[in-house]
Amino acid sequence: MTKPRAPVGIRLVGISAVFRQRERGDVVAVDAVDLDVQPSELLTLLGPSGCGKTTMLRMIAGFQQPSAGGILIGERDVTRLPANRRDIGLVFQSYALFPHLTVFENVAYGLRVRRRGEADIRNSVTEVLQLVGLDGFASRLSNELSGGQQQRVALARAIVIEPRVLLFDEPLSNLDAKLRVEMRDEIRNLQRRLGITTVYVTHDQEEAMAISDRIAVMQAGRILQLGTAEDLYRRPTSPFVAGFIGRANVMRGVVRAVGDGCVTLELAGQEVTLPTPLPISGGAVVSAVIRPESITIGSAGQGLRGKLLNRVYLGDKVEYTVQVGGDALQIVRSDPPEGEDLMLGQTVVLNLPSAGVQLLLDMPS
Amino acid sequence: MPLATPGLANAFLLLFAASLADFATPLILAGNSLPVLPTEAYLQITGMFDLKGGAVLSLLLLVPAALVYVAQRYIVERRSYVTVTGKGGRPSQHDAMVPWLVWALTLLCLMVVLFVFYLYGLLLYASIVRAFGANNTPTLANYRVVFTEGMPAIKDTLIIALIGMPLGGLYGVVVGYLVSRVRFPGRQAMEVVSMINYALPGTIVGIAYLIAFNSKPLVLTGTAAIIIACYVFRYSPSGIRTTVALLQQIDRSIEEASFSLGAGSFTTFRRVILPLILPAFFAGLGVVFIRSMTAISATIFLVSIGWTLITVRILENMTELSLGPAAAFSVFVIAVVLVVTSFLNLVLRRATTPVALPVTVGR
Repeated sequence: MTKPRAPVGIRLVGISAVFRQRERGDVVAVDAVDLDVQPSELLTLLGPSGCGKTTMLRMIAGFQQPSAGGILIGERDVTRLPANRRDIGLVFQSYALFPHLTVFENVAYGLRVRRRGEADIRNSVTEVLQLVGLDGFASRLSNELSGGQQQRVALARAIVIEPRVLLFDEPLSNLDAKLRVEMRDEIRNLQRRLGITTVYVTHDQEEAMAISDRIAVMQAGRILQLGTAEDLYRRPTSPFVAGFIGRANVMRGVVRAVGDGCVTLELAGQEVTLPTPLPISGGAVVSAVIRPESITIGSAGQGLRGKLLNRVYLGDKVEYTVQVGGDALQIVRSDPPEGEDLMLGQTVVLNLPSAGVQLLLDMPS
Repeated sequence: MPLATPGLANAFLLLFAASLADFATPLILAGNSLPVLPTEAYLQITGMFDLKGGAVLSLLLLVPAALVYVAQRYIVERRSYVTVTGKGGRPSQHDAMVPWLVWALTLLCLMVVLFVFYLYGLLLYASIVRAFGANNTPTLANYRVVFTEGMPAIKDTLIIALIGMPLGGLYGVVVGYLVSRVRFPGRQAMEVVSMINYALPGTIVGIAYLIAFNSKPLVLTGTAAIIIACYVFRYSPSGIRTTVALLQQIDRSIEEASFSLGAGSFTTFRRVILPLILPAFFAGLGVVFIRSMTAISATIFLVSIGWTLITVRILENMTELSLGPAAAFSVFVIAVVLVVTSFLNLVLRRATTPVALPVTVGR
């Protein structure tokens, strides 16, 4: 903690991981991915299980040899370097504390391996334990700690060696919901303070949005989209990202008319005119991504007509389900007025504000 | 009950294999009236100098032994549970049994224990009387025999056991680690080969060692080395299995954590894996030592004028019907085994009490 080093970036160049399996043949876990992690940035790899995010992390850590491509940490090519010489700190989902050592010795481990002096070790460990709020726990064993405390020890153990890169593998998934929120804020604050370049793996989009500078959404071994939480939420480039980051209604439609930066779509048999920057020609099939909170619902006026299927009153908001053609759309209305008189089964009108709809050209498949 | 099935099956198979291969018990208790394969093989070789005949007889033993081994592996293979994940937890205890059943089981166990103690008591008694059953005057003459005539055998046995013990313990831990953690070609084969020595009846192993090291390139017959080698390779499998079992319970990420903190494979093994499998190491030490003190079936083929063993002396005494010295020898063996194993337990308890690691760099 004494002398902060200049943060470095991580660069993955065309990196692949292929697992040979007897029954299923070769499984491509990571498929020629390029990725630049900026110095002192917290970048999250987000995706469903099996998307390759953990394999990516293990390749950066050095536990998985890439089948192709290279990894640079700063200016150093670490592709062939074993894990113990990569100068990384790693926090595991299972904490992976050494069960035979005390909290102090768990944290001191990396320093002892580096043959630091005893006084030096004592200072560093005490300081880091204070940083994670565990002063007074130094002589405990790991099985005498709660899950959150154990994860703090794991965190302290990873940062005390002042690694160039911090890696997190689903660190919060074994904690309960309340603790998860608390710990993720702590991790984020600590990371900001230390300025260590960090790669964080999770399948929880809320966690990813809360903690990250940038998020890489992964699917089937590829990065589908990379950007800030707001980028991904407001401007998803694929229905998958739209559905994975927050809630989204995705409706398919055909372009009927084009003109003046706007298109007229046929959605569920009704015509809607929306602005789009995309170069779209008539007859194209598009997906319209509509966030539930951007739709206004009313009983009369201009817009998409549908049937109100369900209405859930939650105090600070109301959630509606409206059937439009073959689609059931989700609508959220915050801060609902008192005495709203929409009835189940009645026809409602949905107004799509032009800014709240993202049009995606369907890939020819 | 379904959870206990593998344990029961294992115990059953072990007992089956043990009684199949047991050598000393039938030789002493049954004599000629109930010839069993292991003793027949022994008599073939020592009595008639018929190495081949003995080998054939012991090969017959191989078939059921192999079957048991395969069955046992099949059962053991099916269970594998990681319970030490680095997530600390507290062991839970259940009391699901009805009280009367607990009492009945306790009573049963107590009776077995009492019977065992009765046998040991008889042994002790036999060792301090002139002639067991005929002349019950107390005497120390039997022990005088043990510590005069028997001294060479005691010395040899202790030397062999004390050399074999650390070798066997270390060998067990290293092989166990290699088998369960390091991926290399022939891993499976190594595991099987390492277990074969244990699974085979001692008679076969003894004859095999005798034949293998009787001629060039490695002539070891008649030396202490052949006995030590036999003990180390034959009795370290229990250390191997304990190591494997312990390692199966240790989550891989604990090792990875060590690597990520900058430790190499060797440091990781010494500072993380070794302390965690220390119980296995000590179990290995204990088993090799106990076996070195008590085994006979394999090594009876390997002793020579230069190197003999207490157990062989006991057998000799028994065949000469001098019960007293035999009992005295036995009491001596039991005492040594008790002392050494409790010492090992003490050291193990000391070693596994978590304390700060010794500092590598001075203050």
